[in-house]
Amino acid sequence: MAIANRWRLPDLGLGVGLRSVHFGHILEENPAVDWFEILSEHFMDTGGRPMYVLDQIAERYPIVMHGVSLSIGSTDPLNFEYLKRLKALAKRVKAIWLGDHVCWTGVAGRNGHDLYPVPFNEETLAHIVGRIKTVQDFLEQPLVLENPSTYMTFVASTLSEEEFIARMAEEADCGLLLDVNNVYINCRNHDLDPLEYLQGVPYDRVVQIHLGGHTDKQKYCLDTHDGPVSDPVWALYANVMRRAGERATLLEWDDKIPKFQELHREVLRAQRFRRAHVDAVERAGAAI
Amino acid sequence: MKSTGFDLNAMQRWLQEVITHLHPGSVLTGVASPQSKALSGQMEGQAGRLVCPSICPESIVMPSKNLSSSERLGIYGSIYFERLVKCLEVSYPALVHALGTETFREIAKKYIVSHPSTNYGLNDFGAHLPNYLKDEAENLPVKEFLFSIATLERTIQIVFDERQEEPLSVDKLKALQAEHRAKLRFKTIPALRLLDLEYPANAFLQAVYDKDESPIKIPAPCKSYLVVFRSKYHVCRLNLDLVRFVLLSALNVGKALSEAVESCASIAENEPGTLTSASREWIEEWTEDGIFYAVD
Repeated sequence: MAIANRWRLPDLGLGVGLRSVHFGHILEENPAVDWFEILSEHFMDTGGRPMYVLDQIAERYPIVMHGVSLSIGSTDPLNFEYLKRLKALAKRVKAIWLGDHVCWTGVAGRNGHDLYPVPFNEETLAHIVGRIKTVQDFLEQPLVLENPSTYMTFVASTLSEEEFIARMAEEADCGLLLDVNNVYINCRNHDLDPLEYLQGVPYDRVVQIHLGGHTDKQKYCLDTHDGPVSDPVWALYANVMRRAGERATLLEWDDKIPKFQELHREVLRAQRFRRAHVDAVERAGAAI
Repeated sequence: MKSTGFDLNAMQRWLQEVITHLHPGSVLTGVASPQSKALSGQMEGQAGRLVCPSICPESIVMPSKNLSSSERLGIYGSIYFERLVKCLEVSYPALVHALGTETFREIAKKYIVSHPSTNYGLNDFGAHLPNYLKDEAENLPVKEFLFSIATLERTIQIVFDERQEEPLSVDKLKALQAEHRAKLRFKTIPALRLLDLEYPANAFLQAVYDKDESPIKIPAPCKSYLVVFRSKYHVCRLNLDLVRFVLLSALNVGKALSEAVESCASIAENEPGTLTSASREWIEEWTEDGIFYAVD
């Protein structure tokens, strides 16, 4: 049985990350992609061509905003100038929802431009929950936060990642973006069982799903977004579809970016897993 | 609430210090840095599980089946430098060409350490690189040339992202009576910068853009003037002679056309009347280029 997300945010279908190399193709060809996700910071401080193009694309397609510098886990004060610009951009492009990652990106006024992991314990949980509430109040909408890919875990952690994220979402009343590729990467990197992880996800809070490619470095997995989705990640996605039902799904491809048609073909592969879920539901309905 | 009694802030500062000071692939430099040692001392003062006599990475970061704590930290260190070096390479392709990839990357890493990012975006991360080359980088040949190239490339980035204003149309200019134009102030679009450089950086940059496979010679010093502006969302570069440069600079700071003409009268070889009529032609050309957005 499909579990709708509790904000009734729509299943947008299959989308791709908007990248500048595809601007021309999208404007000229109007490809039949369901929606686009933008990287918020790419558009927050530009009055040039990226914004000009985005305005046109936002007229034609639903837009979701996904950021990398909210730094919700940082111990620095929240940056309200950043939030102000984020809110203004969301209004301008009529973002369906906006989100970021469960991470910190810097401290003491600095930004490492990476998604650093947090220790999963009660202190961090209380810290992040408080900040999410403040941000949601400011933005006047729920945040949709993603499980990031990580390469280390902490001695100070007392909770599992999925337990931490589930409690965070419940206590802060926020949405979740489940990155299935990151579940695979983290479980590989931290010697965990991805199916056990997926069992602990509160699917009624999952608004969006990410798919992407990674690089297997033998001793660890690197989240490179530079190729197609691997078979084990597709298998996890199928598992998520069975548990959650259809959810807005997006393919991330940030390096060695192929032509738009190839990118689109790759995300359309998700259709059979989504279809399988619908078929199962229909079969169950017919049996009744 | 079960408490581990640890200090999240101290831990983040320690991690940041370790990740951003190490040489890629090695965590030891960062761990040994004075700042991280000081933070280690601070963390030792906290009750709880993180207490460790000398704050070794193992007391903070768990090892995995395949990697030690230091190796796991090292992944973040490598990513940190790699990502930011790549960002600078994308912003400064002609500088990479002038220095060679290896030298550029070495300089970039030093720049990253001395000018860490303090902004949520990367647009301005390389903003200090031109002055860094000129004032801080050591053992660099032809510093003034490198400064000229870097200044031009940085200006292109600024102009690319500047606020958009709809340019003044040629029809609107023509509607202004010629005899009144001298008193008018032509407002330049926000996406416009004027550059006065010691080297012909624009020609060098164009050769790099043209992907000329043969090594591009570093030119001899020679004053060059240009205007970098955005037209129809594309960044344009226009070489100027000194008279045009001074005239446009004067308009750019808000002088009326007649005052602007006066300010370049001493350097122009033309008769004053010729200069006035030439300036009218230039105004029309610049309007066609989309350089102005209003007149007062």
